[in-house]
Formats: sequence, structure tokens, C-alpha cells
Amino acid sequence: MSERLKSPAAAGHRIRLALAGVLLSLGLAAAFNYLVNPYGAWRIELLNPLYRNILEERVAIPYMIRIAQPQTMLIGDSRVRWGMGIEQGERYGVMNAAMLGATLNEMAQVIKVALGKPNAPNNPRLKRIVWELDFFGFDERLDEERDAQTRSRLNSPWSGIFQDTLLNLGALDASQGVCGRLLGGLDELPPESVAAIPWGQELIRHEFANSPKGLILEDKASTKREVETFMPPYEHFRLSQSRIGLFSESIATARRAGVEAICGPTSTRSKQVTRISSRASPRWLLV
Amino acid sequence: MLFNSYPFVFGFLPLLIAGYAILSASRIKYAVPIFVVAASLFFYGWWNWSYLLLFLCSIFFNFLWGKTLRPAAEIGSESGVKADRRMLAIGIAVNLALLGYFKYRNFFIDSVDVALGVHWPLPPIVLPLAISFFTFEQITYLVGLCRGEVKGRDFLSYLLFIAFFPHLIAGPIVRYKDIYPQFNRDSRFKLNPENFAAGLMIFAIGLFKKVIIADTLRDYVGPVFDTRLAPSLIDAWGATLAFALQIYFDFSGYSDMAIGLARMFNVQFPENFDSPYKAESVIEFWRRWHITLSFFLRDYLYIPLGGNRKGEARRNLNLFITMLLGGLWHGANWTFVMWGALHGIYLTVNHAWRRLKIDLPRGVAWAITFVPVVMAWVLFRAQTFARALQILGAMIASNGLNLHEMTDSLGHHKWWRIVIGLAIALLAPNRQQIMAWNWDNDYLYAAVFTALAGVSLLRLANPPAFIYFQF
Repeated sequence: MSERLKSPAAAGHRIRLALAGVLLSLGLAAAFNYLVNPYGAWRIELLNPLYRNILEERVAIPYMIRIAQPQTMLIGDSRVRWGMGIEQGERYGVMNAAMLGATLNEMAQVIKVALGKPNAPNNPRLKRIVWELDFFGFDERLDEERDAQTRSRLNSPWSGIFQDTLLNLGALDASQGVCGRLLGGLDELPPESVAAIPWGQELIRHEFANSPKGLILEDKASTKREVETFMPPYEHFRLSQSRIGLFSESIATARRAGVEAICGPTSTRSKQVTRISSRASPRWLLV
Repeated sequence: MLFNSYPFVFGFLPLLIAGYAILSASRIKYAVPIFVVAASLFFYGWWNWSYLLLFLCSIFFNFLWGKTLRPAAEIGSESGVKADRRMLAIGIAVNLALLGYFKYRNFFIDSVDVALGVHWPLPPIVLPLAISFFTFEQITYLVGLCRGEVKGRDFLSYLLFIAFFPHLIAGPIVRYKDIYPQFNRDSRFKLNPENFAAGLMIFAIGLFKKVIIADTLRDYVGPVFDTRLAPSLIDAWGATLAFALQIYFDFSGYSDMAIGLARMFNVQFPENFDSPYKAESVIEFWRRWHITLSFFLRDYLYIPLGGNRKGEARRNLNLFITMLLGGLWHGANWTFVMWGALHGIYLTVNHAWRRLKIDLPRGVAWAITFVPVVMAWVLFRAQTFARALQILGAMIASNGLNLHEMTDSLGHHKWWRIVIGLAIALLAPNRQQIMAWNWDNDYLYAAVFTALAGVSLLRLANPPAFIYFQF
């Protein structure tokens, strides 16, 4: 199969056109993502942050904790992420910095980044950290190194911020989502997306009424699959002393910086409704 | 450094092109090839510098060993030819020993352990990048010397042949006799806008296939292949089809990128894929799938074993051995061996069928090729033989039909990606055919390139490794 080649002069012209086209399209995409700022990774706030909807928290959180200035920060894994959904990542001074499958190292690193250096805190407004503990995070077998990308983002924002938040199709998709919500206006957003935190009693009742009911309403086959899928990682738990040390040290560091640290186990109910209930992303309520 | 990564696209490649252009204008003798070799070694060492030494030792050994080899026609005496062949055998053995040590040592220890319960310790070992590829390419060089196929053999050309970055990591498997003349023609080492434009477009097509098609299918594969759950019929077929498409677009996309990059620097690599899923027999499939490996196995294993020259039974045995070892080349695991063996059986059956001279309707011929090829991928992808059997069982409804059951990862709404992938693989023109279209309109060329490259470059973040990355 022969290719049709052109003369050198014409080929040079088409190369210039092609490269210019690519550079232009990348430049436009990056500019759009920067202006919309769907992950809150940049300081610009051209659009109301209430229109954000963070779906890629492992991309957004490591950048957002350096920019947002919440007074309260929630730390944890999927149970916290889904349990106290804050679509925008941060709203009205409360930030949900939990990440799906977060390891103890990652959570400790989130706190470290949020605190910054003693003489140069990243967030001087930070008053309290609410850390919902999950036994799973203390399992010796949990691979702390499994997500090099998140580790890298937490360690150094500049290692990947351009490709994660500007030159990125996922970010472009998120920007498009923000614009779509913007066109609908605040009135079109679901009530829990704009409600005050903690939620009022009326919203809580409404959410309970509309929440999935969990395992109890699943059919037997789904229940069996859920158990078979999600139980094995929890088997043969081995307590890690080094992670207990890391946890204690993180709490002590926060308290030394004058930040209140509230720790507690994730409630049974939240465990039930996060993974066991398979049909949606339910919430538990911070009251 | 992967081709589909920011450091490569926005760092290595532009710097290489700039350096190449500047040095080619400088008239310093050998400046360009030395620069390209240095850049290629940097490219190789990006992952792990420690294996660069091993890589260079392998190159030096083979070049020096090649000095002892001559074609039979030049030797004259029969005893001289025999001695030469012994030297060739030793050279090949050294290469295979190196490959065997790094790639198959733990596999061997583990297999002996399972069989005899000896409990030998499994020492940790990191597979040097691309060892399977550069070992095979150097064997082609040694054999080529004895066959009289190698016309010139200066060290710089040899170094460039082995280390040239586009084929270094995952092929295509190139042969010295095809590449050497291209390094030694008048137009060498000067950027040629025509080749550069063609190479850019080929690279963009490959990048698109890799990051937009293959990588989006990946998410349907793991949840079925990497868990212990008994999959439903739909899940098993969905994940297997997704993997069949993923590996095709992944590897053919990589090959396209390699071919495009080489083309930018005026080197024409052999084609590696030719719409393999359109094949209407397994024999045809292997003429379209990983073509350079198929030809290598044919020329350096199947034919030396006797090929089809010693009767039908022996031909079938040779085919089986060739495919078995071809399977093992893909990975140190019994599942790869079984995958190769299964294709050996397919080919034997295919040859037997041909003897009957019964013409099947094309659709039927395609279906009885495509379905077994797809089912064989289960062995290739599954971590263990037991898991492969479980998934294959599910594909023939051993877990019941359960048509309503699907995992979250493969819901109804996600099948469209598999359907589109199938449509592209089965109905769309392949890259070679696309490149043969009329591209006279510069604006059309630029628009297509912008669309392919622009979308692909925006999906480069967190690139997953190529499936063939460490073969």
C-alpha cells in the first residue's frame, strides 16, 4: 500500500499547519480549564465554585487543599467521601478531603499539606480536622505505595498540575460539567448541593426518605456478589504499629499547630450504606 | 519513557528533532548517528539506568561475536562451515541464556517447586526492559551473518540498529539487513519533510488507538479477570471481548507510533499489524497479527525445525512447538504456554481443514476464526490457569445464562464502547489503508492530525503501560 507523499515544500506547509492546529487546540483547552477551574486547583474564581462537582477526588483534593481555606476538614476514605458528600470539595468553610481507598499515609499527608510549615501555614483559617478512622487503614498488608500519582501530587503540586488540571480531557469534561450546571443556574442544583453544612433537619428527613436501604433490600445474588467482592480485603487483618505511630504523630502535629483534631470510628451505619448498598452513593450525615 | 507520556511528547521528541536538525546541518561526520544513539540510550535508561550496562554488554558481545561469523560461501571448507555454525550456536545460546536468566529463572524455579515441592527461594529479579525484543533482533543479526544477508557491519550502524529508540521497547522486531541500508543511503540523517509529515500522521493515529480506544477498554477487563468472582456469561464475554480489543489497539497503536517515529527520521519499519480480526482463518490471523514476530518464529524456529519439509505429522509438530515457544516468549507463565499451545492446535486443525478443500461462506469462516481467537485471549490475560478455566467456563454458560447479571464495571450503558471498538477493528480501514488515501489537501491533513493528536494529548495523564511493555 503506497502512501501519497507531497513535495518537500508542501509537506513543510502541512507540518506547520498541523503543529499549529495541535498547539492551538491544546492552548484553548488549557485556557478553558484554567478559567473554569473545575478542580479548584488554581486561585482563579471566575465562576461560582458552587457549580463544581468533584468526581475525581484523587486528582482534585491534593491540589485543592493548597488553595481552599476551609475551617473544617474531613479526612477519611470512601465512607467519609460518600458519607458526607460535598460535591464542590469545599463549601461554606467545610472541606471533604477524603479519598476513595485512602491509605493512612495519604491521609496523614493530606493533613501535613493542609497544615503547611509552622511558620508558613497553607491554611491559617483551619480550625478543626475531623478524622473518621477505619480499621482497614491500619492493616499491615495494605499497600501504601499503590497510588504513586496521588503520592506525587501530595508531595509536590508542580509535578503534575498542568497535565492533571489543564491539559487533560477529564478536566475538560469536568469544566464542561461546571458550565452545564452554570447554565442551569443555582435553582437547578439539588438541595443537598447547596445546603448549609451540617444539614438542617428537613433535608436530613428528605435524604433518609430517599436513601437506598442497603443490603437488606438487595436480591440474594447481588448480596452474595457484594460479600464475595468486598469481604476478601478485610480478611486476615494485621494491626500495624507503625501506622498507629503515624496516626498519633499526625494528630499531635495538628494539635501543636493549634488545630482541633476530632477522631472517631466511622459509624456502623455509614459502613453499611457505603459499599454494601450498591446502587448509589449514599450519605451519612454530619450533625 | 513511554511514547504516550508528557516527557516523551513534550520533552524528548522535540529535543531530539531539534538536535537532529541542527547536527544534520553541521556537517560533522557521524554527529547525527552518535546523537541518535545517545538519545536512544537515554530513552532506554529512563526507567532503570542499571540495566543500560547489561544492554550495552549484550550489544558489544553480539557485535564482537559476529566478527567470528561468515557466510558459508566465503568459508569454503565443510569443516570451516561446521566450526562457524558452532560459533553461531554458542552466540545464540548466550543470548538465550541471558533471556532465560532474567525472564524465566523464577518461572523455572516456581514450576519445579510446584512439581517437586523443593521450596527453593524465589530471588527478586527485575526484567530488563525489552530484553525479549533486543535478544531476538541480535539473533537475527548473528544468523544473518551466517546466511550472507548482512552486507555491512560497522559498529555505529549496529549500535543504531539495536538501540534506535522507536523499536527498542516493544518492536516491531526489525532485522539488520532491512535497517542497515537505510542508515547508509544518501539521504540519511537529514530531516525529510515528506517523511516527517507521514511519520507525524502515523504517530498520531497510533497515539489515538492507544490512549483513546485501548485505554478506555481497560476498565472493563480487570474487574472480571482480576477477581475471584465467578463471572456471568455476559461479564465473561464482555471482558474477554474488551481485552481482545484492548490488546489489539494497544499493541497495534504502539507499533504505529514506533513506525511513525522511525519514519520521521527517514527509517521505514516493517508493518506489524494488518487488521488481524478481519482474518478468515487462523493461518491468516497469524499473517496479520504481530507480523514481525510471526516472521521471526517462522524463519528462525519453524523452518530450522524442518518446517513442512518432513511430512505432515512433522509439520504439525513443528507448528505446535513454534507456537508453544511463541507463547512462552510472551511471558513466564503457564497461561502463556497454554495460549501458544492452543494456537498451535488451531493452526494444525486449520491445515487439516485446508486439505479437505471445503469452501465456507466468508461470514462463517470469519466467525469460526474470530471466536476461538477471542477465547484464547482468556488464557493470555488470566493470572492463573484456574481463573482462565473459570472464565472460559462462564463463556459457555457453565454458570448459567444469567443474562441480567452484570458487574458495575460492565453495565448495559458501557457496551457501546466495545461495540465501537469492534466496529473499528472489523469494518474500518486500517492505518496503512488510511495513509494510502488522498491527503493532498493540507487543511484536511492538519484538521485530522489536530483532532487525533489534540484529543490524545489531552488524555496522556497517568498513562498505563503498554501490555507488551515488558515482554
